[in-house]
Amino acid sequence: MSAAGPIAPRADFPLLAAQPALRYLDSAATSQKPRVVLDAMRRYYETENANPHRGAYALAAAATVAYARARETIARFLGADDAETLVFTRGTTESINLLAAAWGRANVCAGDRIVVTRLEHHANFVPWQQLAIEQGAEFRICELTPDGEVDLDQLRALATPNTKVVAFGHVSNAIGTINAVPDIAAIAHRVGAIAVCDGAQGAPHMRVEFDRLGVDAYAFSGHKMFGPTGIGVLWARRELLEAMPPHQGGGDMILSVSFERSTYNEVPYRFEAGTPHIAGAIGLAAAARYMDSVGLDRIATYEGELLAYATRALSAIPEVTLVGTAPVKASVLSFVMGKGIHPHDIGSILDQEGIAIRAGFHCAQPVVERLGHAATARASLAFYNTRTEVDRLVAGLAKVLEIFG
Amino acid sequence: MTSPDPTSPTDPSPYANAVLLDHARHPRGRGAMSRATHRGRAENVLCGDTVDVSLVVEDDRVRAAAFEATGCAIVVAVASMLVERAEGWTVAGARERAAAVAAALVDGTVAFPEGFEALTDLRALATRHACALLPWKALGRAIAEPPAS
Repeated sequence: MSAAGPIAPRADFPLLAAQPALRYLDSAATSQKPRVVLDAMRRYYETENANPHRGAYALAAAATVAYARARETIARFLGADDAETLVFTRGTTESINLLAAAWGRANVCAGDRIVVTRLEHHANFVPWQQLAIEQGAEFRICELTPDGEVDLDQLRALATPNTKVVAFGHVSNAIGTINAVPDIAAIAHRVGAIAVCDGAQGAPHMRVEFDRLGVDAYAFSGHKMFGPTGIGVLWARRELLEAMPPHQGGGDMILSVSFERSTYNEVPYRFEAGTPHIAGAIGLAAAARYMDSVGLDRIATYEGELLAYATRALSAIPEVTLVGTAPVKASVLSFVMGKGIHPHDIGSILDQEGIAIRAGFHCAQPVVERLGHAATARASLAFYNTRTEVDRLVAGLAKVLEIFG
Repeated sequence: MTSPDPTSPTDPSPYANAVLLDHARHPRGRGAMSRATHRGRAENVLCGDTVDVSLVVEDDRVRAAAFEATGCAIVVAVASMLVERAEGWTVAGARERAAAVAAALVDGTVAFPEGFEALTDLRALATRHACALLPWKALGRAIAEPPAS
């Protein structure tokens, strides 16, 4: 790793450039945005803004093309051949809710089983729990190994022939585990269940190729991968989407409407009722291009080295215990400190040192509690972070120990 | 625009306040109270922190107070200060103090009740106001409930 600076220069990110003292170690919550994303959205509003798919004038056609191109760019970034299998949503949460509502209500019945894992963010837990209650289906949780990996043996036992859905994360937001996605998908497929992957923490850090992952559906948020808030994607196999009824009614999702009935539009538009977040899609496409320009393999290597450095540095502090020690991890460091020091106090003291981390359950209460903690402190790294920032975190923790020593 | 210097000495910090730190490190009145006439619990569902306040109330006055808590330093420090100072308060006086603390945290023109001036250093830390108010909520619930039999 170069000592000169991160592979994504701070100068590319207006907020980081304007706040040189800020050590932003909370990218798992939301990432900072490169200037190219902000510029792309501004350019759209200033030169192409109109309602797509409507209007017989050149500007509306330009907006339609811009929106379609954004979808194609993001599809290429994800390794999807068919851009129409990408549905734009508000984010991961809406993507999973869409799938649970539209596919779930049509395909999950009383006596069926839904399996999720202990690692899940609430966004990939609660919608399935709600669906199970509504439909009278069984809701089962696959537990973890002591290191914080999904217990595949238990998953094999839980995946019974009546299982319709296996829902799991690509990467745990709470403890950083990178799941064995192809193995989990294969277990789901063996019993005819669909494999649904929450990719909110995967897409920002690594190459996502649906064929390689073997999943049936994948959800992620723009704002965690350097794009704007309010835009995200649900990708699903075309036959899955084709068989799904729309979940919302309105404009854009129909072909024709009469008093008696409406005819629904094609995939993916039938799931995009109303005027879409065009600028958001364009901003997300710009984020994908930015990540491509840095290089996805380079990002993975850089972040892997930074994670290893941070893991060594935090492990060297006797009072710090890392939570989640899976052998394959993304750049998330969840930890607790001895002497009864509360994660919120760690967060507030670090904040006074200009270091931004997260403290709490990380919207993943089932896993944090199962690992025996009321809450944890979490530092999450991205390609704009550096070893120097990790050193600052270590110095900040020394200050915490000084105060509570 | 540049960021504020994170180590600015003008930034008041509860973690540099000797009174709060002393209560956090050496909490007073922490533990169960079997003879309590009134008990109240408050929980912050966002972080799981919990405070239980136990009181002996006789003739409309707090005669003794204790707390139990699972929480951060601010929760523990404020709970400790509260039970240490509560003896002799009337029930109405306890309610008034709880309301005054809530108001003073967000409004610099409102004074903290006597004995709670150290909480001034929490004003700038808006993300932690809920921690400072948790023991007061537990107190409020204790005196809102009918006496324990």
